[in-house]
Amino acid sequence: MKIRALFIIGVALALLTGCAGAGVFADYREVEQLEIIRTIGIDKGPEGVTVTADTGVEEDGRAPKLFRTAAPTLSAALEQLQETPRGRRMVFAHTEQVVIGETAARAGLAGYLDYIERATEMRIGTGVFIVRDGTAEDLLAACAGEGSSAADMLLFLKTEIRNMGCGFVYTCGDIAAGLASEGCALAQAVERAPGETVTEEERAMVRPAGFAVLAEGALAGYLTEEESRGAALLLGKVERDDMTAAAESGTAALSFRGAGMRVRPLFLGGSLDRLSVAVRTEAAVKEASEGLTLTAAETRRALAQDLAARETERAAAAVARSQAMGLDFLGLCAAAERASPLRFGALRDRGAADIGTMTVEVTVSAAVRRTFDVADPFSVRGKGA
Amino acid sequence: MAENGKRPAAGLADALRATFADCYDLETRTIAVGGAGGLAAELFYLDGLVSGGDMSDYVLRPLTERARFRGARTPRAAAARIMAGAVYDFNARLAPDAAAAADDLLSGFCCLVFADGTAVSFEVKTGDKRAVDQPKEEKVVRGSKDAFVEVLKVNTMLVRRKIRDRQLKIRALELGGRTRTKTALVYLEGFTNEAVLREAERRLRAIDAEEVLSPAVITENIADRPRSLFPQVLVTERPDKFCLNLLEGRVGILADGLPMGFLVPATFAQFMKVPEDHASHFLIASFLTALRYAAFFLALILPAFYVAVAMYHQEMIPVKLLRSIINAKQAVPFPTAFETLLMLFAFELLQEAGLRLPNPVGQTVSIIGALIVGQSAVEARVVSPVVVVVVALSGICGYIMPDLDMGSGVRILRFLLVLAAILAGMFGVAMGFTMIVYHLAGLESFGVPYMSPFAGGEGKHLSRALLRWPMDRKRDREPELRPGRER
Amino acid sequence: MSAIQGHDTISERQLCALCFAALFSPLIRLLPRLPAAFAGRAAWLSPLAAAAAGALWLAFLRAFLRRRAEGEGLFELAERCLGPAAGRVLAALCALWLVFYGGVMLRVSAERFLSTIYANGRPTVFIAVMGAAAGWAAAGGLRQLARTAEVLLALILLAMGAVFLFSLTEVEPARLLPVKPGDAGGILLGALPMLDMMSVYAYGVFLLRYVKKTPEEGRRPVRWMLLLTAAATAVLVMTVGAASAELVKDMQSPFFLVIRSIAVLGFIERIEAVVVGLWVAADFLLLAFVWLIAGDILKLLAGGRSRRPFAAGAAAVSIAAAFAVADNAFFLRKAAEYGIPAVNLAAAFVLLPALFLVGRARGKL
Repeated sequence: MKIRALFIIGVALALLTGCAGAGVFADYREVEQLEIIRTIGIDKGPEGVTVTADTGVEEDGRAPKLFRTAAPTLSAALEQLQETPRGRRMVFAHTEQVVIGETAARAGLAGYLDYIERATEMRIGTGVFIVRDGTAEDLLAACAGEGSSAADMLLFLKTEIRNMGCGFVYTCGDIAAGLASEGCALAQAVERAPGETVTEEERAMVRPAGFAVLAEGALAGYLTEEESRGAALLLGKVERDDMTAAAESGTAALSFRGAGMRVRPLFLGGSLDRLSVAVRTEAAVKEASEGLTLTAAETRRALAQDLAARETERAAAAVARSQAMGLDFLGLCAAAERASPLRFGALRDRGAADIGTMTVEVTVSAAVRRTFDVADPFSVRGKGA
Repeated sequence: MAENGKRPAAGLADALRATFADCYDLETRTIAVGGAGGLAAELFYLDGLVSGGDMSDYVLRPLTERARFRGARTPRAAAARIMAGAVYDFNARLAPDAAAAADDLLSGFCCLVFADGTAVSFEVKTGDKRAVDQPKEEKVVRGSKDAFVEVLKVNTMLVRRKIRDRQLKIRALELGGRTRTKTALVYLEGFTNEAVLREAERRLRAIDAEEVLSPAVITENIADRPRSLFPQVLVTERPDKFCLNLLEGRVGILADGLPMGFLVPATFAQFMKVPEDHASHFLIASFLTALRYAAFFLALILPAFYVAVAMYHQEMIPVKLLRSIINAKQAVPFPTAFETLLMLFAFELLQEAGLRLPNPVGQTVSIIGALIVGQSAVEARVVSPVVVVVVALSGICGYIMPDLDMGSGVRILRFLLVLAAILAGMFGVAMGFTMIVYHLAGLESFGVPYMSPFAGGEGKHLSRALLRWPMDRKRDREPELRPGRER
Repeated sequence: MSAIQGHDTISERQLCALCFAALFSPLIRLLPRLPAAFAGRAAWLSPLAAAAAGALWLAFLRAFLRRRAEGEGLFELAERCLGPAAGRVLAALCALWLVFYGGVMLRVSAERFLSTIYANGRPTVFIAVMGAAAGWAAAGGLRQLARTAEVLLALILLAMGAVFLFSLTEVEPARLLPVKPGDAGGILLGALPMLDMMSVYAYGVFLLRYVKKTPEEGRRPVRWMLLLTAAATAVLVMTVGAASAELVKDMQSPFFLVIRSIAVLGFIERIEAVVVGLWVAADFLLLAFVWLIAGDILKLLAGGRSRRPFAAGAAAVSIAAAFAVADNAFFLRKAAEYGIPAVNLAAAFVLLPALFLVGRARGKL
């Protein structure tokens, strides 16, 4: 017992000397001193980086606070925000999304991803948005108002975009991983949209603007809406999308979802002939025009074929774009390698798997599985008709 | 008046008078054994300890009947007649000397002293005692409702009623230099580990105390590490719990004057069990047992966890909740550390006040204290509502502890953990918790690891601590107790 | 039971629990960065490769230790195999190494806190507090430490299981597949960190002098090794599957970085503070374990009666070394990831077999 007591006293004495330093107290902060930042906007500025920090709508519905600063680097800008005395300390631990202006994205966003990866407060699971034809500062400022903020809209988008069928919010980690392994990645693009006038004050909104294509750490281009929908389908990011399909007896509004692509490399005589990309979707009828005979298998088949044809067009457009840019942002080669690790894997290892020169065959198959309670639409012409 | 008109000679009688000088409750009665003209004797007793009616009916009346003592001309002959059954009293014995006679008087006997110093003691204890009532601390909804009382014989009766086994042994000891408290060592021969029994008796006999008027005299003297905050002797006021543990192979201790039983060896898992587990469905009992473990953990860790998160690791709190906490704390002048310690302290004060006051008032004080102090403190912005919730929840979890001593230990330890959280956040909490586990791992109770079956065994009987198996499943005794019989 | 064991007697199960719980500390240090760096996507197969090699090593160990007498540990075996002088020299070197190893591990654990949840802190407090606590335990009883390990191990495994379950939604199979024959070399290299972790058990052999010998001795470590393999595979699947091998290989604490994104049912976010806190237990056990062994060796060398002053002394020297060694994280990483495993692997996979062979050759076994 004495030995142990002496030991503890020795350590305690050592602690009392100047060696102790700040210890853990440097990380202590009272809750009410915190300013929670929900979204960070990054733009290219004359000094290097312009950062806009958005707190999101306050608890009582008050307008969000926006803070703006400029510095040579992202970390310096965030540090500058902290140093400006406001009586509160900014906390980025709850930053759920990062919005990057187009110019900044074109100049390169590897540095920003690096900062986010290193920062103990931030997480690699933070969603990334690229502002199409605009700056992050403008977007955040335009959306800020009583009961509304870009931060909340973007958060909503993050969870709901899979039900829109037009995109997917990738995280910093996803983008970094994609850039590191394939040299390219996708990010969700957004744009400022006119708001819905409810009161006299018109406030902007955020809407999805397709996928942004990143290559070598910078923005390389955008996909059109059709290409984005096709890409989302191929990537298995469509939980729900809507389309109107036609059959002989009428039209129907279909709600469908995709099952992700299956890629098979097909070889002919020892060399790669083509990549076969197949996607399955299944649909349900949400609305049917009068006279449409849904109970007939041929009608359902026709609707499915129409849906499949239109989705095939979209998917093919996405693939074509990928080939045109020479960037495998759809992960076709990686998927082909999973399907054929030895043969296709050998091609990749040799550097001979170039998406730009491959023949890619895209097939989307669809099936109408169900309607919602009502089978054939009811007649409006009475019993005599 | 005696045969020869004389009083009994000096000697034992005078010794008794000298022993009980300045004791107003010593009473004496001179009688003639065998009726008028019989042998002179003096009857001593301590008023209050004896039953007058029993003494009259079962001692005095037969003593004064001539027919019973015909031919008994000497005190020794009379004593022989008495011991052969001339007197009805169920418990009669010769007192060899004044000391023995004095001890008998103190034990509720009356002592008949003849002229030549021959003395016979008769047990005529008063029936004045607290009736067997419901348990006050260990309440159950379903199960037996009797509890130990202050009289050892009643307590042993309660045990014998539940275990009518010839193997049930009750070994008597006397503890306390002044109080000379009768203590019983209760065990099932062949079930209980002999080494534990010997050690228990040795520790009891080694108690160097003048009095045995409080449970702590026993628990702190026989525990392996009495300075530990964790109890190492199971204390119960319930005979059914006492008997269940005897059947497991534990050694029980009952002491006169203390309405509770003590059981050793005790393990941490034992303090998480209640007798009601055997009255409920095995799944419900298992769920409630798991709940108790969770409650123990929460009672210990929750305030410290809150302090660590609120002071150092706010990123763990979801945004909405964090905003709500920030808004609530805006006007509170005190830092998180202080308000948490303040509320914990207030909670302890209310708890103590509730215990000290008479029952109806005590309950009112607790309710009013909780409502007024908690509510007013929040409205006056002295503390934030979250702290009140955290401390209250932690307190409620502490009350779920079946054992009072275990709950008391947790109350103190959570203060220490809060201090650790204040100083070092989650690192401090983790370090504190690790050291608590380290301390628990080092405890033993009569050679049995305190943390068994979680540690110190082969890990096979872990389920026994966490679950209650169905009654129709074969049940072995806890192997850690090294019982004489496994089943 | 020999007189040596006395009140420090533990079972083989407890020794395995102590070793296994202690190696959770290096598990987080070495995994998943190194296997990801060597094997890329196929890193999750490295533990399985290591298990095969580990099983062989444990089989050898069983054959070696079958020849030990009651009350004999590695100290006595070294003396028997090499002769008293050479055996004691070897034991002394082991003790010195363990003191240095403990110091580096203490510094590494402090660094982990700084890089995860105490970004503005300094290592002093962590080194001092952890060192004091583990030193206190090292100077105490082995039995108490082993029981502590049994309890804390259950908590660590429970937390890891929960973390793994909650993190499954982040795992993408595309980041783990495909596995090709060409990955074999990387998988085998990635197995080395796992084998380094197993070397903790090699040091545990010193404590066999406190374990009652049974005919089944040596079987139990195999079961624990399988559990280690499962835990390591889970960690790799979780981290590489969520963040990809390309990112993980450059991260200092990828496990904690990945769990930052985990939310528990929406009411707790960013649980890394809790998980980092839990690793305090693993660090505590590793340090106490290492210093206790060093103290035991020193006691035997000095012929002392009590291990306590030697264990406390070993801890004190380690703490001083922790303050002195590696004032920057880069050198520390190199030492912790390459230097130390090299020595540990040599001790477990070269030295022990060599000891066995020499002992057999000299007819001492």
